[in-house]
Amino acid sequence: MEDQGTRPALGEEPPVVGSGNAPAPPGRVPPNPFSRRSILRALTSPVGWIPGIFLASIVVVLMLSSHFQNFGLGFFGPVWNPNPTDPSVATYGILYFVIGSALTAGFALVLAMLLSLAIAISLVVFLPSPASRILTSLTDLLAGIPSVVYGIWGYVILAPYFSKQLDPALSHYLGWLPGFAASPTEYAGGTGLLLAIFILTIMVVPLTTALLRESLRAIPREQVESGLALGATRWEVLRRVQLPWARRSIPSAVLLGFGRAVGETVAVFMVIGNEVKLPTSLFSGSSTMATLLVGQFDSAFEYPDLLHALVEVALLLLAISLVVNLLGLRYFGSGRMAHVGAGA
Amino acid sequence: MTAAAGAGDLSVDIELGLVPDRRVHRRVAWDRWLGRLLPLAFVAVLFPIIDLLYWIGSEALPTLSWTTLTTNPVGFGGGLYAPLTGTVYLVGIATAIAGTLGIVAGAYTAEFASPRAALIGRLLANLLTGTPAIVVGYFGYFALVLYTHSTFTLWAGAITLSIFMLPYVYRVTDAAFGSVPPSQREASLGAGSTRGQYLRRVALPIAFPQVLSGLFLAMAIGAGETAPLLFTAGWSITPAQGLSSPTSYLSGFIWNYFDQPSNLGHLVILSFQAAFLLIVGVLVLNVAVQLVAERYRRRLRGFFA
Amino acid sequence: MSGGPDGLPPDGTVVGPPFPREEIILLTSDLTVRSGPREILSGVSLAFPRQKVSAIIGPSGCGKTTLVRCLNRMAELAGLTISGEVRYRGRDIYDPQVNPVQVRRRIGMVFQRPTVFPSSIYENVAFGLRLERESREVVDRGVVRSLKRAGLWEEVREDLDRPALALSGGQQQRLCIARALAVEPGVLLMDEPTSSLDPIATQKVEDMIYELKKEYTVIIVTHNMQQAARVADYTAFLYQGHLVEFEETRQFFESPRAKLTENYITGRFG
Repeated sequence: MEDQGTRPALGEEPPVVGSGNAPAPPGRVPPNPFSRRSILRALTSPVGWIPGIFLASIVVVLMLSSHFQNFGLGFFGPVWNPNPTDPSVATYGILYFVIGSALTAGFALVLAMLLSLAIAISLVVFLPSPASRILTSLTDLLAGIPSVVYGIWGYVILAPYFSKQLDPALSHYLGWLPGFAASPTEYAGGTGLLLAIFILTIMVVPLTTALLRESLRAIPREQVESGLALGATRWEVLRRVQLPWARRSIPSAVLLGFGRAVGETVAVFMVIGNEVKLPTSLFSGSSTMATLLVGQFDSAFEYPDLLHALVEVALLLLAISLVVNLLGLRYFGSGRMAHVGAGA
Repeated sequence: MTAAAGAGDLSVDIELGLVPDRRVHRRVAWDRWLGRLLPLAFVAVLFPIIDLLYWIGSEALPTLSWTTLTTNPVGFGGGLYAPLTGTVYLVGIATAIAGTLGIVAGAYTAEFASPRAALIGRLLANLLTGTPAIVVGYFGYFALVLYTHSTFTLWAGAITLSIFMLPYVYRVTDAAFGSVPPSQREASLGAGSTRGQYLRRVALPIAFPQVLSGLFLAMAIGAGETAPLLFTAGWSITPAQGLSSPTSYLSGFIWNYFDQPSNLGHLVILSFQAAFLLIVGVLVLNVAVQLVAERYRRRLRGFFA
Repeated sequence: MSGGPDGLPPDGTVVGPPFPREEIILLTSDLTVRSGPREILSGVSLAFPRQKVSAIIGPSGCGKTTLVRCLNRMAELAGLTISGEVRYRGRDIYDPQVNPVQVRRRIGMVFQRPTVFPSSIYENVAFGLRLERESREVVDRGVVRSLKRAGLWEEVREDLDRPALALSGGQQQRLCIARALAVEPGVLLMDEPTSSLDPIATQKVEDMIYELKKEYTVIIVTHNMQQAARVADYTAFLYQGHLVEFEETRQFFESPRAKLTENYITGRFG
């Protein structure tokens, strides 16, 4: 840390309460922008942006590697058909992958939000504090279980269970609902949208729970106490005092959770069945943009344009994650995220 | 307040709700029911996780032995020595890179950066955290494999992994230095030390446990990742022949062999054991994070008491 | 701990009460509060007369805030262990059959700093009434009545729909008092209600307290002896978790019985 040189000129110092530095003498000449100190400061200021510089290089490298001109609007069409011999007849349409991503991430997020609202409210409002502390650590621990482990568990244990027990039962009893009617061949392997949604839900819950929990905890304690002192029950205080305070955090948690779900690759690839088609039910095999990226990389060198098409998909995925995270972070600013730990 | 106070007074019973009042009763009953109902969501989440942990334990533990950890995978047997050491190398190098850059950048942001620069730095770091692992993997492939005219190498994998781990270290370091009690800062700077001396001699000892927990957290995240490594570190079932060759790693082992046909059953068993080792490693690191964080809280409490 | 530090009465002794027994509205008997191994209150026995203002004074950390928080069962929320009795009009409020929600409705509380909710002035005062799903007219009437009692009506009658957070600190605190009064409590507890206010706002709150005792029983915690002397009919002195003296205010300040009280009010410590 090159502290001596980077100490900023006093005029531009952040307003630190009670900083021990001596105040600027009156009538001091304005700082020379070419002084050694100013130059050093300018040179070292990107130090704090190192993570941002990596992010920028990710964007730049992917942009440079892409060939936007190769694909027109057909890129969002339904037919994904790489052709090894004649690139002119190959088509790269990602519609079904977009649909797969939207369905898995969307449904997983709805379920995860319901669960994590219930969990966050239990942790902050209803559970006694020792239980709350232990369960908070436990939900944070869940975030640490590797994606690939969820994947192998889903493939080896859940897929047979889904195909033999859960899927037939669901299609038998809920067949009248759209999405649940299916022929037995469709859930023969057990892998598919439903299993992917299930796994994704479990994987997103720690993040959304941590976000909602911290936003509920950030509410001043006096507010909660005043509500209780007026004779409100814990639930009434939650509904009339805490939720209005934390209201804005819910859409943000949805966005950040969606960003996590839509980018999840390995576990989803292992359980989604990897079929490129329009899903006919929740039991259909499907693919997402992320699983496309990991699944077709190996063949990318046999098909002339495939690698470029994949880079476009990676860029699209990056753009989606940047947008949803940017919007989501409007509420969960840096200060709040620090408490979220592994979940974020 | 008209009736005289005294035991057995009906008006007191009404006031204190001892005489049943339907409206209050309903509100309190609703509260009590929700208090029992909502925690059931834990069951919905924890039950599958317990199933996962129980399954992986019962698959891996009976066959896990010292030789599993010390021999390489071969034909119809062998162990996980190569993937285990590969993961250790990858995470070790990545932690060194991400740790150095993350701590320097985090401390700089907390102490030297102007408020606006700090805001931008934190926002970008949070965005990097939200970037899908597979996208980071593609970046790694282009930047470190394709454009360098290289092949899949251990160091490409480690660097890509470090990019993924970096924002976690940065964020925790920034928060740790930012949470040093202002009184400490004022006392130190007021006594005439430079900001660098303050950082090294005052802030670092206070913030260190939290920074350490950030490093553990990043290691846990890095150890379990698969997607950033597939197209950078490549895959090899044998130990890496140095930093410039493809390597083996635990998550890659699972990825490559989880769906092998049953005549290659030993590979499937090995991938269960790899999953078990990953979980144990990650959980140990996470518990370390929480223990360190708990100690840190106690220490800080001393400052504010 | 039989005698306590110098001059303290033995635990459990009811000091006073200097008023007839039938005037007692709230009474603690041998109230002991622990936080883990630490004893915050040691056998406090104290009786509060109705439609009077009673002040609790003492050096910081003496347990006075904990004491008032025991009176409406707020203390248990912080995980404190409470033993002894608190009786409201003769009934033990810690009886398992008594619901804390109902207790807090009957025994209202105002905090050190104003804690208005981030909603309109009207909605703040209506909070307690809305819980019972009172009709529109009842809520309207309750809001106006409480604002008038808190001396805030004339200042806010034009902008009941404005956000309460736009009010000044003193107005916010009086709004909190109005909010507590809206549910018609029998007793109003005030925990250093003016500690965050300037002298003029403090004056207004004190004037209001004076008016309130015509209808309510007020128990006020204060670190400010002059305030106790100004507003209170009775004053209690708490020291290190022990009740030292409880006396009619004039008597308390002019000729305290305990040496400890005299030392405190003459500024020799605290």
